[in-house]
Amino acid sequence: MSATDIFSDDTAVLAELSRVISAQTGASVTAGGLKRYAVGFSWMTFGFSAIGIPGASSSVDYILRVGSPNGLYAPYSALPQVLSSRSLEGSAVPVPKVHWYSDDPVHFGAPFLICQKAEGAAVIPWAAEGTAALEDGYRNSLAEQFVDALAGIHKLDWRSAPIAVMANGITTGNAALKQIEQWEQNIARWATRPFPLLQWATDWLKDNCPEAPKISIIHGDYRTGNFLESGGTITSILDWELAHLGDPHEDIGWLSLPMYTGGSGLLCRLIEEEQFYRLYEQKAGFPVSRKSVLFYRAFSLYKLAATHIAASRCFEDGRMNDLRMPAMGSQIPTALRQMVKTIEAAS
Amino acid sequence: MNNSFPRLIDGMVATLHDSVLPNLKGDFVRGQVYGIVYILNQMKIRGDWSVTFLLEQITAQEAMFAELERLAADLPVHPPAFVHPALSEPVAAHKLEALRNEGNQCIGSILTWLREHREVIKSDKADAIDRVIRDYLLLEIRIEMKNTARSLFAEMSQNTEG
Repeated sequence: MSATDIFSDDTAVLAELSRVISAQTGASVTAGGLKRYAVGFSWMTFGFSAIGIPGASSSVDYILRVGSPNGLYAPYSALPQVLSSRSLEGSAVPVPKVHWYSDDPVHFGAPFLICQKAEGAAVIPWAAEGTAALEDGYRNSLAEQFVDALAGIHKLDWRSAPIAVMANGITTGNAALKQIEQWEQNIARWATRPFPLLQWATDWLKDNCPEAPKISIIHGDYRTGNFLESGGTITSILDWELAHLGDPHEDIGWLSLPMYTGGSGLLCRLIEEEQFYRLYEQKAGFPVSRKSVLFYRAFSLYKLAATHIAASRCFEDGRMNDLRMPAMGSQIPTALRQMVKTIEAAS
Repeated sequence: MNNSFPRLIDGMVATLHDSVLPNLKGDFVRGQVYGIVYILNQMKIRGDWSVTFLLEQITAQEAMFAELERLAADLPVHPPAFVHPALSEPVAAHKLEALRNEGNQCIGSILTWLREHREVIKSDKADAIDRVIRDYLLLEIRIEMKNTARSLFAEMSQNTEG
């Protein structure tokens, strides 16, 4: 059964959800009210409610995430999201609690996880022309929480947490190289034509790997657009599918990409760059290396170009007809140009 | 665009069929969408990417390879060579694209060669070769960007569909 087959039939999806949750809880649970969220390009996201959850007197709202074999980075595993969520559970970092999951395609044709539904809406990172800037009070409050949550992720002692199984021999000396090699393999898998600039960049990145100050949980896509806020409070950090262990500068490099300023000149439309570093250093408890940030910003642009290549590949292979895919593909040159400029600035 | 012309047409037609038509009421406007589908199918039969920007990229590639040959002339080891075949007019866009990609494949081989032979090549010569290659690749990007429409990604992402 492929993911596409079952998801053309809401009744079938709800029946399987009822079966899965009933088997996991030992209770008779009925799922209903399936709603598809058309967000993101990889994992499919649905909302539903369940009646009969042990300990709950009324229906409970959940989110179902499915790692479609047609998704951007397929094939997937639910583990990065599950392990990061379970490692941060109980900390001050708001993450959706994962209740049930499996990488076995027998249920939905693909890996899946079921997590709590958080309230709120996402702030869009890309501002359409004419979009007003975020109001100062609201923006400053979000910025503080945004930095707070990131510092909380990076400070967590992961060695005694579930995500420790992903360590795979990582050290402060090889953290950068491990990530470069993984994305080099991704590019080889996705590219539909040669990109010699990426080969040139791979060589530069490998020759200039910084030593990490520490190894932390890395979100991998930490930015505006990947948290929900309600009434000015960040309720949940989302989209942990790229979570791994690594150098905290990797998340900082990513969130500092010019693509996420929305034309505001502020990191993630929220905070001025030096102010971010001051606040983050205060909360995380270690100094930010500007040299490492520049390295990881160059690496982030390398990953961004790779992601656009993946989108282009996904569309060309016929796995998706979402026209945002070829639109992303047309942005490969922009990412490459920025990457070269960043590498030249860092050299 | 990094995707093939026929695939883009197919994708647009599929989006119109699967996502737009089911949500449209009104015979006239639905008819207009079918009109768009028809014209897109016609464009798929007769159309292709413009050759102009591809020729610009290939011409710049040729100049780069000529410069590399000049720089490598007195080296103890020689880089992989690439010569564009003579082009007889007119040449289909997908063939020009393949030619440009072959040239870029060779550039990748030259970058590998450069890395492997850095110790036997004088650093100023190696830097010059690196610079010539990078200048071409940045020019290729500039040509690409000059021939790309303004991004509407923010507008395309403003979905609240449930």
